[in-house]
Amino acid sequence: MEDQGTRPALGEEPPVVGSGNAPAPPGRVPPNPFSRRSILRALTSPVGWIPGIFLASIVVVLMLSSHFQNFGLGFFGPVWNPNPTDPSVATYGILYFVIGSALTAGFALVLAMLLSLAIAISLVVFLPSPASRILTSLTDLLAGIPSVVYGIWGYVILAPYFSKQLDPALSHYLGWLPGFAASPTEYAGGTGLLLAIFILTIMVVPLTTALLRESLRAIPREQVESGLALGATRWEVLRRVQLPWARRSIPSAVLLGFGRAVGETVAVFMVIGNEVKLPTSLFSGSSTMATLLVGQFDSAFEYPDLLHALVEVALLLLAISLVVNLLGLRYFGSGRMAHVGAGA
Amino acid sequence: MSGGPDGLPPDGTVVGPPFPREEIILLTSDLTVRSGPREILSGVSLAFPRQKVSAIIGPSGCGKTTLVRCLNRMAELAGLTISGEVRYRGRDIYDPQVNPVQVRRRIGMVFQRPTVFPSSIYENVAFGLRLERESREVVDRGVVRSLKRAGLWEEVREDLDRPALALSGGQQQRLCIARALAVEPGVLLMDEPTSSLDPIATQKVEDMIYELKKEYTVIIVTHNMQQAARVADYTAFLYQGHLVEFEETRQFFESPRAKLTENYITGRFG
Repeated sequence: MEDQGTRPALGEEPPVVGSGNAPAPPGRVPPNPFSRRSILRALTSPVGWIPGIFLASIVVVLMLSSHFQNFGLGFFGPVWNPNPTDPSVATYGILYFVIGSALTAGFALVLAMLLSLAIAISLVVFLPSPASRILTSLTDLLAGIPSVVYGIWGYVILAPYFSKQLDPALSHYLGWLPGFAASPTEYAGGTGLLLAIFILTIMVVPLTTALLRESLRAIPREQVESGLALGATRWEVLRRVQLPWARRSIPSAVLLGFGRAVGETVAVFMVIGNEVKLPTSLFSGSSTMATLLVGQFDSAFEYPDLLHALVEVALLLLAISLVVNLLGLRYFGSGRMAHVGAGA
Repeated sequence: MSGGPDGLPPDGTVVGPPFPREEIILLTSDLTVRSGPREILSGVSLAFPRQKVSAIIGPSGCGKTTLVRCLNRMAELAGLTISGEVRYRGRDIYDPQVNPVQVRRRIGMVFQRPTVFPSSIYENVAFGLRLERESREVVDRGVVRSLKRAGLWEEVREDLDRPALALSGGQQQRLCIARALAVEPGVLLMDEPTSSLDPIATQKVEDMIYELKKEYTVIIVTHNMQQAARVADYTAFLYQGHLVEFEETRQFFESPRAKLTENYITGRFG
């Protein structure tokens, strides 16, 4: 039985070797449909499809409830006016919501990446292991705090502080920078873009930190030791050995972090000031696509057009988050594979 | 137990050295290493001669790897407690005024498995030279010289910019040796450098070690007695953290002094 061709594939029953002159035909024992394995398989395999079915049905149902209503190019225009008195002249333009989403998620992501890179490096490279273990769980715990708790903290505690201390100071010292000049008439009283970005940053940091941290931890210990054995300092090993490895996971952290930031709703809704206009500074009130949905869904069934418009915004949001998450997971996978390949 | 004026412990405590004292380049005296309550090395006093190959053999877990890792201050990174002395050219490398980074630049190390960095062949060898901010010409010359010494130059001269990970395992290990040689260390430590290689690649590394001792002092840990007999001028036998015997290699294998050594090399345990 040395011949490769007749070896059974994995999981197949090996053919029974006959004791007579003629070998037994390589027939397979028919599977028993009532064996424990078959029953388990019958029960679990359909369940494996459930996530896919959910996703597909969400997309289909949303598409159907939008009635494929075509709002034309005005859909990406600046005027959002459901016009309760005369719905026939209502306009649904989502430009300012898109801008609000891009500004909050974009800035929050940049800040979160800088912060989490520093946190990940200190956790993996510099802190002694008991401290690192405790602080690692603490950062992970931050991810589990309910969104609404961040929102209420932002609205009740941070917004007054921003309006009394931080905002005046920032506009006083950095007013010459675009975005930091607060005009009194446009001031949202502590809430607004800046506070939303701040809250979002804190909410994204656990995710991006975890991704960067794990990619730093995945570096084989021998790589670090080889650097040290060549007479590199801890800092030189970080810069020349560890960071080049970890760099591969930055695209996935950026994409997954953006997905998290752009979809975040309740906390942002509570602190962003909910104004529909082009923000003139970081202190302006604004809205995002997600806060638009949560702010107007209760009146959606009164105007069919509004419902269709909101559903289409939801579809757009879903598409964005699906794309960034898929890309992010792909990058993450390829980064991990590279680690494995180099470790061998 | 106090050391003598030249750093050697008093007679009777040091096993060997079976060579003149002025040949000593690296020396441990009463080196004891603990990991928590467990003693990994117990009072090892051992001297290594310059421009010779010394092998450290012994069964798994006897402390061979820990011993070489003490010689370039890598052991302390694993949180081990080290007492006793290690002297390199007469200077105690565990002196609080000595910077471990400087020690590691002079005493290079090669590990069990090839640990090439995920960059080009050239950049791997240049790593240590870049740390010293050498000029482009110096780095170029150092890379070529080290690759030649490691016997890899003819095989890679055309593709220095190719990723080092594309090389075979044996080539990667010789690249690691070239990388360690590039900073011109006084001593090269090798921790079972051929344990992950096939016989042909092992042969090439052993040939290279033979060439290296013209310029370098090599200390090689091996679990393979035949390898020690092939490449080493001197062989030390370590057992349960104690140094049992250190002798000129032929003497070591043909007429060992200690009964324990004899039992080990004749395969009665191990």
